[in-house]
Amino acid sequence: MLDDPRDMIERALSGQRTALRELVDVLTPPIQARVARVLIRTGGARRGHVRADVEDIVQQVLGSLFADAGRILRNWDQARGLSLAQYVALIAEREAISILRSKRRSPYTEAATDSEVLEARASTMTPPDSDVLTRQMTGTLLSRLRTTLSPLGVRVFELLFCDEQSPEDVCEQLGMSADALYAWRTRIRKAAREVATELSNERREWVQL
Amino acid sequence: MTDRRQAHSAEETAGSWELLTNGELSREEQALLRALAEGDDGDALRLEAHLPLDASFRERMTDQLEAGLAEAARRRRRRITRMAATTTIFAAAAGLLLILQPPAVQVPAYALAIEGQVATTRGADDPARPVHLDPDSVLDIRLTPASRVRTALTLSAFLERDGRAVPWAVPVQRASSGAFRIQGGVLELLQRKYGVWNAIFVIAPSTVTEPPADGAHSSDLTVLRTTLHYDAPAAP
Repeated sequence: MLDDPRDMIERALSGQRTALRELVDVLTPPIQARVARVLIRTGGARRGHVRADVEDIVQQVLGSLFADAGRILRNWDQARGLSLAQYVALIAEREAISILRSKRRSPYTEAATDSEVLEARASTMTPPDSDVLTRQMTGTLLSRLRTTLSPLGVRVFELLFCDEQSPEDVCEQLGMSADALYAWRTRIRKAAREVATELSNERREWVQL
Repeated sequence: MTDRRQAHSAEETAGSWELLTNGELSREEQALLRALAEGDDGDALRLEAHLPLDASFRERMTDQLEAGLAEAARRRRRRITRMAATTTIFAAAAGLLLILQPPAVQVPAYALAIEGQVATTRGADDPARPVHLDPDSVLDIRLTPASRVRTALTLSAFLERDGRAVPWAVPVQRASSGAFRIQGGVLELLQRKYGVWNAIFVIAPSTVTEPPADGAHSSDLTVLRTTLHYDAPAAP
C-alpha cells in the first residue's frame, strides 16, 4: 500500500505519470475484485465474456474516480474509517450495480436484464460454496487434498496446477502416458471438488449449531 | 472489537478469489483454485473474472486517465479564456449568439488500441508505428474515451491512400462508456485490398461523410489515424 495515499492522489491528479501509474496499480485490484463479485452474484457473468466485461467496468469505475478533477478520489477521508482500497471497492460495487441496472448485461451487448430481476438476484442469491472460500478454508482444503492424494497424485498436482507445466512435459518427466495423466487430472479435480464440498458442509453445520 | 482483532477477522474471512485478484495467494493456493475451476463452471467463471488484470491493461488505463486529465485541464483553460471574453463590451452579443445556437457537444480524447494476430500492436501514444496484417489476421480495434461519454456519439471509419479517402464499412460495436470496438477477420474487413492504408477514425455527434484534413482541429470531433500494412499471402 502507498506510504501517503493522499499525496499520491494529488500528484496523480496533477498529471504526474509515475504517480498516476502507481495509483492505477493500487486501485485496480480492489476495484476488479468487487466488480467480479457483483458480476458473478447478479448472474451477469458469462463464460468467455466475463473477462472483457470485468475490464470494461473496471475502466468505467477508474474513469468515474478521476472525473471532475478527481472529485470522488479527493472525497476519500481515512478518518472516516475506510482505507483507500475499501473506499474504492465500495464505489466500484455501486458503479457496477448501476451499470448492470442500466439494462446492459455486457458493455458490448444490448441484452437487457430488468432492474427488478437484478436487484432480486443481488439480494437473495446465496453465494455458491466456493464464492465464500476463505484463505483459512483454502489452507485446510489444501492439506486435506494432500492427504487424499497418493504421493504420485500430489506430484502431478504440483507439476500440472502449481507449475502450470504442459501435459506433454509432465508425461515426459513422470514417464506417464497421456491417458494416464488425463485420468490423474480428472481424479485431482474430483478430489478437490469433494473436499471443498465436505468443508462447505461442515461449515454449514457449525453455523446451524 | 480492537483494530487488531478486526484486521485478523478481515484476513480470515477475505474470499480467496479476492485474494487472488490482489496477488496475495501462494502458488499452491492459486493451483488449488485452478483445480477447482477445471471441475466446475461456476469456479471457472470466478477464475476468469478474478485473475489479476495485467500490466498492459494498467498501462492502457494510465494512458487514458492521463489523456482525460490533460483534456480536463485544456477545458478549464478554455473556460477561463471564455469567461474573460465575456467581460468585454461584446459580452451581451456573444451571450445572445450562444443562446441562439444549439449547445456544442464536447467529444473527449480517445485512445486507440489494436490487438489480435498482428505483428505489431500499439496504443495512441505512438501513432507513427504501423500495424502489419495478413489475410489470416484477426483485427480487434478499440477506441476508448478518456472520460465517460454521456451523449450519443458515432464512429465513422475511412481508408485513405494517395490522398483519397473512402468510407470503410466495418461492423462497429459501442459500449455504454462511449468506447467503440471493431472486430473481425482481416479478410472480412479489408477483403483483398492489399497494400498500405491509412485508417482514419472520426468520432463525432453524427456520422461524417469524409474525414477532416490531417492536422485540422475541432473540439466537436476526435480523429485518430493509424497505418495498416496489409500483406498479400505469399505465393505457394
